[in-house]
Amino acid sequence: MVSLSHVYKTYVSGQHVLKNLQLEVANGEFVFLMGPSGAGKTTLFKIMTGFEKVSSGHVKINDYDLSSLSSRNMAYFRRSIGVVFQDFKLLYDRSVFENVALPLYILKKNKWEVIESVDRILRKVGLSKKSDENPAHLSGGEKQRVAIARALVHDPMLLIADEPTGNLDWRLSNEIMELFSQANSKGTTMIIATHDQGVVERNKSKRLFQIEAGQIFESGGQQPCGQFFKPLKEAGLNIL
Amino acid sequence: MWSVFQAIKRSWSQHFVGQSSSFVIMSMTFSAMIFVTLALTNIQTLFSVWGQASQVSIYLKTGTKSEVQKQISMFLKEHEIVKDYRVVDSKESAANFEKKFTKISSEKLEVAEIHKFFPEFFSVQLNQTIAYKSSFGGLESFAKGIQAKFKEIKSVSYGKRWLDRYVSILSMTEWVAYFLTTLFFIAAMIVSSSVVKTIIFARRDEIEIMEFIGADDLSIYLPQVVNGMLLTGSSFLLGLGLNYGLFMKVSTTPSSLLSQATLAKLHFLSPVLIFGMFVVAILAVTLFSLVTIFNLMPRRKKAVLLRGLSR
Repeated sequence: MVSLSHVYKTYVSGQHVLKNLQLEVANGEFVFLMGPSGAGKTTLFKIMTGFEKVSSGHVKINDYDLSSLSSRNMAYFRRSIGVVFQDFKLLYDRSVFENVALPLYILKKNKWEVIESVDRILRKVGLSKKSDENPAHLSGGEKQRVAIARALVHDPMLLIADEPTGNLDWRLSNEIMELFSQANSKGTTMIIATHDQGVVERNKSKRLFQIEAGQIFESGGQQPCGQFFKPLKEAGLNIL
Repeated sequence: MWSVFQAIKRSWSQHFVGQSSSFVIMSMTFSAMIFVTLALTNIQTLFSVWGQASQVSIYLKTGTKSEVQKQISMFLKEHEIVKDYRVVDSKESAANFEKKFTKISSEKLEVAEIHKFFPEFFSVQLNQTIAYKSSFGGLESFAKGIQAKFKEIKSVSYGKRWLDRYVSILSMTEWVAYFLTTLFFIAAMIVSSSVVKTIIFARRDEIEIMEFIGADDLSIYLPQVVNGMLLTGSSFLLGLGLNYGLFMKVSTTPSSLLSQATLAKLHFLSPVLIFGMFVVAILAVTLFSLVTIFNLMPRRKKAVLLRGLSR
């Protein structure tokens, strides 16, 4: 489902963000990703959504090889996933309803399907009374829920969320995690980046990965997931 | 298509000032361009107003028989370039000369039978439009033709120096008009593509979000291209309408500068030319918009697009 092998990412400035990263997530899995700021989480998510290219290595998601996708196929790939950003990325010239409905418009769903799906997901995130409001008038937590609703409204195969509970209190945070669990039980693969230790502890049964200095470790493991390091020079990189 | 128009509507409501001022500037530019093109198509008619003073004189050899004069008269009567003519005999010529001589000299001209020194000639008034068509090719061929046909004609005088000057002014004016038309056209295209650029720049966050949720390039950028086309098309039509109104006003109001006869010869741009200009404007703005959009794309997206095109 999600397969990253020997992924390196180096920016033009020479900064090495990801080093020989190896990650396998099976269909329907629920995975947490933890790590300090600057560890490479956001870069990893950008790579997984096709907004960054790897310097070397392979990224394969939902049978799409992201390193060789055409512009059109990249769009099709993104329709099969849902993404929640730290900064929400909402459109402030449209209502909550229109923001949440965007993925359905892109999938060319008919009007009634759009209304039904958006109403359902807004009820789930507790925003059904605010569907006509402009997101600019909502609190941080509400904006976060709009972003989550938009990411889940089209039942994506994979959901990637960057700090989805960062702006929420514990009660809402639990409700959102419950929502993610429901989506996961329907078959959506989840990759959630979080700083919230409490959220992880309440979901001990899920896989947990730690990302540090551009390398990824599975919780409890001592070696990075890409433990058989590909020599850096062989990868065309020189980080020393 | 509905979503494209929704996007354009949104863009107009968000950037009303920018869009409407661009519309005004483009309308002015297209108006100027169409005006110059209109002047260009009527340039010979307008210039021929100055050609009133030009007169063709067909000088006959001494002793030309009256039958030959009749034949020449018939020829002139039937020729489309000739509007009117009259025969000036040697006595009338001599009298005219004597009149002019007394104006410039205090002496009296006393030459016996002076009229013998003056040839008889036809004074021909030309049909301006035909005479000055195709840089006076019509007038020159008329002069050469009549001389070749009648051996009794000594020479044909049609103010060659004046005509040469006239031709060079006409040609220079035409070049200036072509240059201005091109300049205005490019200006209109630049204005239109800068509107596209401004809107894309203002929408860059929205575009990023749309890309994240899987919108393809067509649905993201098509509204901008269509918006540019609509701006171009509507401002072109407004410019055309304004010029048509002006043309109708001018062509139906005789003045000291343009006589009724000259006005009757003026014509508006042909439908084919209008359609051609419209199509070229739309195609050019589409091309300008696409280039602008491509230039504004992030490098990674350009690479993906170019890779896709090269496949």
